[in-house]
Amino acid sequence: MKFKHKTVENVRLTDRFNTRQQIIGTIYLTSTHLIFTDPEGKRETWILHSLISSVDKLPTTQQGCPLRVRTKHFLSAEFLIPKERDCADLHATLNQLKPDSYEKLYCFLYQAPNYLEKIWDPFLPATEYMRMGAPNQHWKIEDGNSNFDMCDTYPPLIYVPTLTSKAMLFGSSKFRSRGRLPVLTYLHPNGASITRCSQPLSGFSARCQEDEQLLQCILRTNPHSNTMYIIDTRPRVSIPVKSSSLRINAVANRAAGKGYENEGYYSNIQFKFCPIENIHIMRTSLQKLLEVSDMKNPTMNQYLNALDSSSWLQHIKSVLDAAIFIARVIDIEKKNVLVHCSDGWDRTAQCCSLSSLLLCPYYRSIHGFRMLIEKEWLSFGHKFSDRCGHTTTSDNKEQSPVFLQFIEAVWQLSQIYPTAFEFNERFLISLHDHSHSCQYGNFIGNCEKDRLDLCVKERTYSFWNFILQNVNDFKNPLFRPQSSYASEVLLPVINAQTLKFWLSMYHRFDSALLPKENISNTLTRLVDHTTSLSDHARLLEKRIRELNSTFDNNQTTTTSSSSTTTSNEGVDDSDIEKRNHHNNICLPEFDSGLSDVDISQGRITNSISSKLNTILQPPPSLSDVESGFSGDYSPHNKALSSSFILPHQSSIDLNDIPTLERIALELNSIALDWRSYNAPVHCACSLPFDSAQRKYNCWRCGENYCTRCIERSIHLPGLYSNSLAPVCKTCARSIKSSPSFADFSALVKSKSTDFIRSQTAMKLSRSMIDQFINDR
Amino acid sequence: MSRNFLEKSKIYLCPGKYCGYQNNSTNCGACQRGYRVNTESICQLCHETLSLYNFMYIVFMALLALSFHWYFINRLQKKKQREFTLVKQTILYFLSILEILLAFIFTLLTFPPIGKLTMNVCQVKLLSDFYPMFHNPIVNYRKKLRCSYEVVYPLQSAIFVLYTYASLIMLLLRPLFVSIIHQKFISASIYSALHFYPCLLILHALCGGFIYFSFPILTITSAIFLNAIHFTLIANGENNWISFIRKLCGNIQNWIIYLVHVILLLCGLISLTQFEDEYHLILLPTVFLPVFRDHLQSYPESIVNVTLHNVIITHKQSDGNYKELWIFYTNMDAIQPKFPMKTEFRSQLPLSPSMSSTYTIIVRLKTLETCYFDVSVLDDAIKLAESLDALITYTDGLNCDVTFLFPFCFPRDFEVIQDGWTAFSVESEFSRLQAISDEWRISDVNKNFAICETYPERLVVPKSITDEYLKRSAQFRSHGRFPLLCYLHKSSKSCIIRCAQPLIGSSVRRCKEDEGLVNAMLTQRHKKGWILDTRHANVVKSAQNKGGGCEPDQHYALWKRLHRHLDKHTVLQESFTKLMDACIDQSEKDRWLSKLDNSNWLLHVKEALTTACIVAQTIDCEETSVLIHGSDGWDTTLLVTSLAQILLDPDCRTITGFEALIEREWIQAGHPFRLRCSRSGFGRSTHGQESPLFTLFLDCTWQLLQQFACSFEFNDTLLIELFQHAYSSKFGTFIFNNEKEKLKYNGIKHTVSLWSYFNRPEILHTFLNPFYEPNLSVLWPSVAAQSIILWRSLYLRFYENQIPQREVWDEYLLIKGKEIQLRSYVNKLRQELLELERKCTEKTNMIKTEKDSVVTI
Repeated sequence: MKFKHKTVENVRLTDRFNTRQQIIGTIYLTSTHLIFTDPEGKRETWILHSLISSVDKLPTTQQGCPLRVRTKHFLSAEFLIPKERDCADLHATLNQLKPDSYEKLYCFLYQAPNYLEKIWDPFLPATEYMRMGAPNQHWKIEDGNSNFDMCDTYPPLIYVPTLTSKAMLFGSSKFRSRGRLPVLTYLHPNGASITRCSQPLSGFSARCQEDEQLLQCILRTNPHSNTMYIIDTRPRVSIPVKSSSLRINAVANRAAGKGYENEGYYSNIQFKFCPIENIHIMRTSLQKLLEVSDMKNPTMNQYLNALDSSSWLQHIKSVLDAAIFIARVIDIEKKNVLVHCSDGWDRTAQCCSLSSLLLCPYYRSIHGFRMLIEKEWLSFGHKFSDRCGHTTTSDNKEQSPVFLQFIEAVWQLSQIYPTAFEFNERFLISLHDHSHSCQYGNFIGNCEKDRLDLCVKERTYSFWNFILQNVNDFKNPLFRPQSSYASEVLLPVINAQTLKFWLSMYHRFDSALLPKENISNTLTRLVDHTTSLSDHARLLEKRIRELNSTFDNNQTTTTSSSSTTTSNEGVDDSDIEKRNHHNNICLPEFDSGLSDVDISQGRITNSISSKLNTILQPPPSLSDVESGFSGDYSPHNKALSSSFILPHQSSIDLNDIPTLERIALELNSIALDWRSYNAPVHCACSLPFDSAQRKYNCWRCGENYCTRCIERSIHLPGLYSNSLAPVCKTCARSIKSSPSFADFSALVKSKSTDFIRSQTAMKLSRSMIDQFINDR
Repeated sequence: MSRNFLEKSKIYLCPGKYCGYQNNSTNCGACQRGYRVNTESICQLCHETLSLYNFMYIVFMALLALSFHWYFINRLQKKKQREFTLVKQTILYFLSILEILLAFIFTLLTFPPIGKLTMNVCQVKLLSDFYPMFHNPIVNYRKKLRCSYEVVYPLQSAIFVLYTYASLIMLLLRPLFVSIIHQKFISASIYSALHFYPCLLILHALCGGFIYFSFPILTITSAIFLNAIHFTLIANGENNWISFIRKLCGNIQNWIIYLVHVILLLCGLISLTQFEDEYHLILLPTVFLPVFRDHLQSYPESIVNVTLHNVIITHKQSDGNYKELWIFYTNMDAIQPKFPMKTEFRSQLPLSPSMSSTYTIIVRLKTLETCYFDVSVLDDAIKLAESLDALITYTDGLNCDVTFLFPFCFPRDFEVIQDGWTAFSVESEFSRLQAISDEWRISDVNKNFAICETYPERLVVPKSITDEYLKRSAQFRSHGRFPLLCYLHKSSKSCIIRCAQPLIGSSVRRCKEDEGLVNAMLTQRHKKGWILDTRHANVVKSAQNKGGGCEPDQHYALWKRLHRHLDKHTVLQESFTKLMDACIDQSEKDRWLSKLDNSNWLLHVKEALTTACIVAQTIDCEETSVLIHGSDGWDTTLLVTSLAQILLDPDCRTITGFEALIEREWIQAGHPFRLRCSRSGFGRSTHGQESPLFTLFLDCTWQLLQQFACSFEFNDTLLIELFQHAYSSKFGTFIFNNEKEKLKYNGIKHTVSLWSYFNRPEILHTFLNPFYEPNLSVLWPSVAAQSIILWRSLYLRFYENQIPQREVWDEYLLIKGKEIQLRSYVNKLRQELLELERKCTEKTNMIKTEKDSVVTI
């Protein structure tokens, strides 16, 4: 890439909502980022080039030449550059930055931090369909598309009714726009299913026998009902508007030889229109919405008026309404549903995925949501590159916030049912951002075929791996798996009043507007603290038991143990070994005694252990992960929470008797009281905090730190598990430098088995496929 | 069921209206004589004093007997004209008066309190009170409960006693008289009396209730009618006016008859004025088997009882118990019948409604809930709607006696730990103040509300100012509301002062004392203070023409002026109505956002918050004092001062502090709650005084709460509860317009304070915010349009599913509780561990020393 590094100094960054507050700093332009720093290095603004949506040069003022950079993740920064030449230069450079081919996308350059590896936990549709119960007597796998010759935007394997023949499928695919024939996407436990396709090329009179037969086959897969629904997600009646070229709808499509199914030709089928506007209207709506958030100090009326006239929330509502309608039909009427729009990859994807989310609790977990995205959006070919405008090759008119709408609809649902979703707002936001950022290979290209051609799995990192590694940040602390909302079908009543404006999405960089004290962050902090405390408590109990037993031993067999319990100074390796040995002999039950039940049998802790049982959840162990993981594939599994936890290795068996020094180290490594998120104004690195930022408490000293100042790769000696704890850099240094830590970490390394969850997942899904093939 | 209904499920209520539990009895049955059942099915002693109406009723019954006496005496005269002289006749007349009068007095003496010329009675509420035998309930269609007793004790028995006495006295006196004058035919009057007394008794036994409710009208009409008949009888055959008048005036009997009629007329009129009570408002006391429903649930086959204070809806629960819902009239905002009310439109309705068709009455409550009554009989529905409508208008009317309201009848059903009436006294506030500055004193200048009716009796004023100054200043201010300190900032010692507008008028009067008082509050002399007028400059100008105005610069040289217009009264009320209209509109087509925009409610919230921020900024950053007033200083002024205090003072963000703030800045500062809260979001205004200012204040507080989720000790439950209690409450805190009114009606003695209820531990803990961390700094909220959001948990709480939100709240408490528990547990473990460690080292040391000693040996 022809590119020169660039530095522009004395640039003012103006706050959108507080024009008086200006930061003077320097712009650095690197090959991947636009970086703005102020002289003290307090605040840095990093803007990824691929996220920049527009760069505008505003009219020159006395102070300099303003340059407004807008990004796809709704950052709008206005830089005031003193020299006009610099400004023009920067403007030109930034505008050329958009890659003109897939090969130049950021994901192919991106070097992730060490903890991320280029491991792709493969999404295998077969496992997901198997979880839903397909194939079964009604549905079968069809590999007719394995070379993408039936439909190039569909995955190689498709699920169709058992009664169909290949000829029927080919015939139907010819009749459907872009060959997107009706295929299974969701199978409800009651037998009803959602199938998706694109519009038929019916024109005014064309008909296709094979397509009609295929629909009859789909109808017959459901024993509960003798009718089915076809849901057309386009508005039926054309609205005469001046720019009628943009308003393509079902009726208008008819003239172009496309259109919708002729009711006369299809028997036993109910037609229903769920009006969702097309991508062009959605795009203008989003533009209007962004204009709303761009307004400087609007009055209440201006703001509400503009929000109303953007009708963004109404569009969200129409999407949600369609999804709820489908969910209702499936769950209550027990009828099959066929969903299509024009091409079957925008509105259809929205409706199918949202209604699956409503119907199946599994999709409300992080892992399940991932499956949903992979299945409905990635494998069935939502045109991510075109809709997000990844490269210059795609048409501007193809861009549309379809995925954003889906994300926002999920957010609206999570606002109605805050306890039903395992993931949080941050997860949704980062999903949206990375669908645009091209940092990970998942959302590159327009369909599965594109991604195969580009070999993204070999060349890029996976977004899901990133999520997995930081899963604690994306978990909803309020998620309550046992609540009825988290385990049942959701059928909300959506009124216009229900929907809110998503402030923390569209205004997330305007900290002045956001609530000053953030409850969700506080909650995460509380949950983290609880984890740390419970781990620590378990360790303390163990120590008390050990000390006690040695103490008892001392009393009973004074002579024998006198040699082992030596003074607390000068512990050498032989001593530890002796103790190990001793402990192994005397206290075999404590080695296996990891569960709470065993702990409660401990002599000393009897008084408090009963209380503990109510406080502590059973420690997640390896077996849990495995069983939970495989169990996920059954449709009615309620233990969803354990599906996506960090590789939680079995707790290290530290069988050695603790030295006092060791105990002191352990006690020192855990802070009992954590600093509240509200108190500090700055991080130790002098970065000013604002309410929206994710802050971390160091598990050792309890102070607050920003993302940059936290290191995650430390095993704290004070925890009775070997999960990695976030620790601030100073603490990390001091722990690492302490002498006994070396022993500890050596112990950890020797005892812990190398476990990577994704590999197990791969193994598991492979075995399932094998099993499945064997079955066939 | 929602919380704003008073729920009664503990007591198994007796079926039937007049069955109750007697003392120490667990069976439903008739009450003893002299008792009547109250709304909770318990027999209560009749102890109300005899009202004038009841008195007149007895008088009427006595007069009825008297008129019969006279009629028969008169007939006597017609039979034996010659022997029956006028003198004898007159004596007989007076004799009968004497009999009745004596009987009347004896009757009064007989009934408790015995020996006094009065009676203790039970209030008559309904016509049916006279006929309890028609209201015996049949339990489960099997057993009939007999609950017939004298409900209206002693109004029914008193008449019997009266007539008995009268006849006995007559039997004593008349024969005496007859024996004196030796004219036997007079004893005919005795016989006739012995005939009509039983007739009267039967009449009373059968029609007592009807007579009770109709006697004033009966008296008046009969008096006029009889008089007319009398005149026509006299005028019979007379064509000449003069001879007619001579005939009329010549006869003393005519005079007497005329006089009696006038007395009757007067009696009737007096009784009619007493009839102004509310019983006639209830047209239909009980409706059987309507469907009562709200947004979440429906209760088929319930029984609706319309009583004086509330509508009681009794419905059978699934477990067979009866449950009652009470809806107070003070909580009803509007009645919206879904059928034509006027008779002329009724013909348009189908004559015989099919089985399924019902007539729905929508009742909108002030607490923003909506209830529906589905009544299957049109006539019942109309009567129910009309009675409810009449009762609502009555309880909300300006002339409604405050003591009629429910808080005065509400028996305290909990133990008061801390009496809310005395919890926030001027003295305690003053002691807080003295810790900051000693330039203030408590003044008794407003003793007996002498100079200002809307201020409390004891006030905090600057030490340097004498009471005389205050009096002069009060004369200069509208409603006597002279400048008063309401907040003193700890660090800067600058203060917030509130008052009413100065009465400068168009001639720009001045008052040196007022200027002196205001300047004395400027603690830092070198600095200029700010005067914040909550009206637009144009409004001030028009107010000046009416005698009001704003402090002119030339006289208040130390002060700068600022105008921030805040809407109030009708504008605000309309805005609130529109907001609620938008909120309850569930139809698809209407554009919610444009309706919300139209209501301007969020605009008012934004404006109020902005103004409060300006005040806070002046106090905290510029360190100058601010004087705030609008026109009367009891509406928008209070909004601004209280919000500013929440921003500035961390104490106001605690529960007690917030209660104190409301008590100080709203109740004691004389916000006319009863006027302002007589209508909420649905009703139409009756007197133009309604205004949701307190709601606006709560809304602004909520905005702060959601921006600073960890800085408040309370959660939004407290705010919602406060909203509900401000509009409809069983507590006396929000039902008076000012302190004077509270004292006048003896509110402290007769009602319970809301704070007494709130400050009980089991209630208090529901208000606690689990994330509270005391934040000592001043809050600087965002007042940008994007940050002001709708308070869903209040306005939409009955129209959205609240269960997930409640689950969230439980989860909050769970997470927080778990953390605290674990922390103390870890602490305990650590101590235990250290203890063990110490023991271990001791032991090893001991062994070591032993060993050492062995070695040395």
